[in-house]
Amino acid sequence: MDFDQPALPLEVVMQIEKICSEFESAWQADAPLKLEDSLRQVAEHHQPALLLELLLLEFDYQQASPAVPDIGDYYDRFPEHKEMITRVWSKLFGFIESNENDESAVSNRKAIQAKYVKRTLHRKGGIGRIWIADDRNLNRKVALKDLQPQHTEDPAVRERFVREAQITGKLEHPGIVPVYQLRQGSEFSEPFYTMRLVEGKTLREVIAGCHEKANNERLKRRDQVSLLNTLMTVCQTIAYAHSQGVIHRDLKPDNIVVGDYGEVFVLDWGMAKLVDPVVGPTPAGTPIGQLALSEKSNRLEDTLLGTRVGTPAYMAPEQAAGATDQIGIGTDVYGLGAILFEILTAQPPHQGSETDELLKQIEKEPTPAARCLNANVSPALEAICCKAMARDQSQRYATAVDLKNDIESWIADEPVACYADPWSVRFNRWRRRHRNLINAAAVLLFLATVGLTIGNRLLNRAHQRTQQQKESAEKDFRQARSVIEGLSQKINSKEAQQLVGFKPLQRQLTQHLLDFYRYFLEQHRDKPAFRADIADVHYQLGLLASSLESLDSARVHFDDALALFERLSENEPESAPYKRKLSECYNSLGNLCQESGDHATAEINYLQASQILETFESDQALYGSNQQLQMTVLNNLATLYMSRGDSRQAITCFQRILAPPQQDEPAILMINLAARLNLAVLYRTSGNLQPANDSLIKAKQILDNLRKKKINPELLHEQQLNWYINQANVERTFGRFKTAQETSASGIQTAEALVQSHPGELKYQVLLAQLELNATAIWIQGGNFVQARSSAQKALLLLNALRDSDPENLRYQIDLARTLHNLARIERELQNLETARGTIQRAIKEKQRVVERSPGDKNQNLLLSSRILHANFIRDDGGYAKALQEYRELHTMARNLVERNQEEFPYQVTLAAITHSLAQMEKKNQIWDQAAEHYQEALQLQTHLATRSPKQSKLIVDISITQYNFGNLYQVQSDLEPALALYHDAHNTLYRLPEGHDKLESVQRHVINCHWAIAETSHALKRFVDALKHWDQAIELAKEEKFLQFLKTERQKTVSSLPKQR
Amino acid sequence: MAKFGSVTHWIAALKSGDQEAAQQLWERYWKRLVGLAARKLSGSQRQTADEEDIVQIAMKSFFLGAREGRFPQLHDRHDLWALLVRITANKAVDQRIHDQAQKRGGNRVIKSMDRAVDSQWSEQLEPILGHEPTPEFAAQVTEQYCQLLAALPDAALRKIAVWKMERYTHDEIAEKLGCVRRTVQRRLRLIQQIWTELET
Repeated sequence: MDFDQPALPLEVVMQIEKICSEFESAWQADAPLKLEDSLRQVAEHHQPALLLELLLLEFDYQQASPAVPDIGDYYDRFPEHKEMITRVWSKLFGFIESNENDESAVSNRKAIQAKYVKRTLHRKGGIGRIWIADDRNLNRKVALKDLQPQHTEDPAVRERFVREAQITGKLEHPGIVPVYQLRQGSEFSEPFYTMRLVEGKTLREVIAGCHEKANNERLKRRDQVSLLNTLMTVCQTIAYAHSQGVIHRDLKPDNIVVGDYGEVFVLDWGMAKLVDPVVGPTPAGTPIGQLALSEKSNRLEDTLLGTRVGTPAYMAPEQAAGATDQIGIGTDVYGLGAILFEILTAQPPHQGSETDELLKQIEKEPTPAARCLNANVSPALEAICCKAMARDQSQRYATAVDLKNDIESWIADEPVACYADPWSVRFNRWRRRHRNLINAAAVLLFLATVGLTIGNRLLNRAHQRTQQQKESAEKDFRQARSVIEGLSQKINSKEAQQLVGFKPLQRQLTQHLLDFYRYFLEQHRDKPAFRADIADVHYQLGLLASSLESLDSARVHFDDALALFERLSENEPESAPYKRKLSECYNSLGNLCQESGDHATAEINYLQASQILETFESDQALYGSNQQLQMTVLNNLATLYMSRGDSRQAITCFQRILAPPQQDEPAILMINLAARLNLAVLYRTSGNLQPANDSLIKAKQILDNLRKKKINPELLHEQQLNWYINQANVERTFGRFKTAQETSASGIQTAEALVQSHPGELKYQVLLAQLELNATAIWIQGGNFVQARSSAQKALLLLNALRDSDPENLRYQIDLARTLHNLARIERELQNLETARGTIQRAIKEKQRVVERSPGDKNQNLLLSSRILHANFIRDDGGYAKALQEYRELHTMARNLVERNQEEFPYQVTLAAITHSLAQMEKKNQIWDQAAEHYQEALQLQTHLATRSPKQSKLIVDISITQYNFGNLYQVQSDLEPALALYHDAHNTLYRLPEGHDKLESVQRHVINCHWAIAETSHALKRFVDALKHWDQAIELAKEEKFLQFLKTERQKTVSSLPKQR
Repeated sequence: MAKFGSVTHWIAALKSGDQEAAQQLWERYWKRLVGLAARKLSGSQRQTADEEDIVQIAMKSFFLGAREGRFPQLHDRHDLWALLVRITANKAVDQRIHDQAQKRGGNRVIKSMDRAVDSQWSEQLEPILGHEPTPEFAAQVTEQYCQLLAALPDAALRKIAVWKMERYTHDEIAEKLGCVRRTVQRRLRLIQQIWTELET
């Protein structure tokens, strides 16, 4: 409480201080001094300052007596200090309903009446207190809010307080307590404001009550719905505030009051922040731009008291980070989510005793999940809560109303926007809702097919009658058939396939169609008028048969369709529809061949389809409508090349897909997405990490774009998982283990959820297995073999089940074999030699089976890698002669692969590895010349690879290892000079590693080896100083105690060999 | 994501009069300063029985660090920390200018900072807060603090100053002294005046 005294000289201030101290002591001793006596001790012109202090002290000590001291009495005693006395009275006995400057009031000695009389303290919080007070004029009870005494002197707090009243007052909404009157306060008086008195409980108390009643078990649905209703009301109130440009910033159950009659109020707008009003429905009222704040409102726009605004337990990450410029609607959405969290769990989302820790935790760590605290929480509600409280603001609900709508949907048993219920829940809901529709559709389709069958017969009879009748009958028939075809397309569309529970029905309907078309063919086989229809029906039959019957029966139909369409388009070479049909037939045939493993024929068919479509390219209008088909064909072709291991052709194909100006059509975007993802794989495996990375960024953009278009999210899951797999792989290859690991973990989490919610969908299990396989590779590269094993075993479990469900599927077989290969490596690292040996043999067997079925070079390479690993095992177990033999064979195989595929990166990697191993074995078997030759060859290959893909740290480490081993070759032959030179090379090569990579444990071991070798060889060459230097470096890095001891002993030998100092 | 909490971000906000930013900057600066000073002092810690040993008392203020998350508040017009930092900084600047002036043969000392007590602390601290506190500066601050404490006329005022520095609230200090809050504030004003005048 400052009175802004004029500055006085220090000695005067000290004198006043002394007098005040005495005055206070006297009061404390219960022998108060007379004001007049104390006042006389200073010069007259300093008396006002002293009197002020003394008066304040006197009132402080008189505080016990409730009455306001009679101002008139003091006027009489100190007539020369009237002005000062008025100021003190106004300030101390605030809430005076009278004009302070009203001289007549003062001179009339009219008793100053307070309009409001405070009765009881209602609650305290933050900076203020709320009193229940009497309004003497209107004779009613009001809530009066003033500042807690310790804050009254703080100008910033006062400003905030006044602002709060102004904001609250301007927000006119049933969910916001109306403000009756604000006293701004002045130099002489404290600010306060009065509001409608709301009697009720805070939402926090209500929540606690409900949970107590439920005894920490599942909330009664009635209670839960009632709490959610309260929250929805709050959402609407907040949405209104947002429309006025006000962000609350401190939403929590404590700031919500639920009245005894169900009214819901949002309180405490003291932390509110003003932003531009949200465009949207603005209720009648003043837009916030005109919200009259105090005169300093410009500066206040973004200025508030305190460092981080809000209550930590409910705070959004951006608040915890102190990122004031990030605070917006999303912050309140988070707050609403935090309230939902408490409704669900009876606890605030963030808990901790240390504020600093808590803030750090909120800022850095993932938002807690409600179901961790209360397993009874409905997954859909949890999903709503998670979305509202997403760490990334853009992932939250865009508005409070969106949140409200989702809660409303949940209460109404409708699907919520942010959560895909498990299929059982969804199917039941769908059935409840669509029972009639399903039945109707089935009946309708049945009737339609039966009707058409009858129509068919009538048509036949009509043939025997007049031409006119015949024509009209044909017309009717075609119309009916187009309806059926439309339905058939719908039934077999991707969307329908995603409809859980639709499958059995779909199968049934497809069978109907199949029967119908067969019947149709029988009836019309030889009628020229129906030739086009017949061709089409064959095509349809092909499609239906491939989904319902065998590939072979489908192929027969496609072949027939193809033959008929070819004849038709020979007759009418300019007919675009026939051409299109032709290319569709070729494409479908290609699919069929690809599926049955006949890649060569598949390629021919795709190329045919693509060539036909290319003739459309000159005609813009035609091309536009056929672009999607062409892209599909090219995509098929490219994936064919990919699976054949022909990455250059595949890349060209994908680039052709991406070349034309991109349309914003979801269907086209989907193909683009697939192309980008596949390109990323191709780039990565051919060592071009940067383009791979760029492709993934673009893929992510397309994914986001598609999501924005609100297309069925079911269609995106698969590609989303593919994205995770790719991204993790690229990060792993870049050597960013931590991010790779995080990406892979997110992928696995997503995939697991999908597997759970789509138990019938094998594709998610396949992708989950892929992701686990991915994680295995990451852990292996990061040197964590225990984790790697756990991931590999999970993958194995999934793949075994998948393979059993479809033993013909090549992809399952390949993945299974890969997993076994990795597992063998892991077991070996974990020193489970026997298990490792058994596992690698199983892997080889599986891979041999793959090669038998599909003998492409890619699969050969796959087999090669396992055989190399096996040979390594033999070598490590001491079977040098046998290993040598094995490596020689493998070396030849690898060389052939490289020769056949000149620029293919993976084969070169294999060849380099095998050449190195061969050289090693030759060294062991003392075939020196050949060993040296093969070391040279390996180094050449490795250097070439590292130049092509300079960011792959593993390639650099490989070079260094080869140099080191090459050095050993000379060392064992006692040819020390070249040995030392190679050791130095090995050490220097490591300087090329990207920063941080030399810290990896596997690399560290090699670094120590280099130092050790250099030291030992230098010692042998009597270069003791050099030797000492490298001993020291090795010792510095070594961790293991015994090894350290050894190095120190060796160092000592060098030290004692040093020439004695003079 | 943009990097938050960087000094430049705060300084910019500070210049636009953002109190929140000023306080954040100040807390960050203060934590470092206290940390450095405490480290420095702990080296020279010595035992003494004298309760009035000013160095001992001063040390405690630094060692206490952030008591229960209580930071000195920039907008608290009775705060002594900001005053102490400012006085030390002024002195350091004076010394440097003085030294340079001596080298050049002149002796004109230019005061670089406004020393009005009751204008915004944040404005006056702005040129200081943009820099990391150095260990030397931390040492100067402790030394200055000892000098300022010694300059107070009696032990009662010294106690108030120290408690205030240790971030006790006015109510807590009043309770310790058995007086009313107003007296604490009055005396803090007096302390500020004494320190400010000592500087000139």
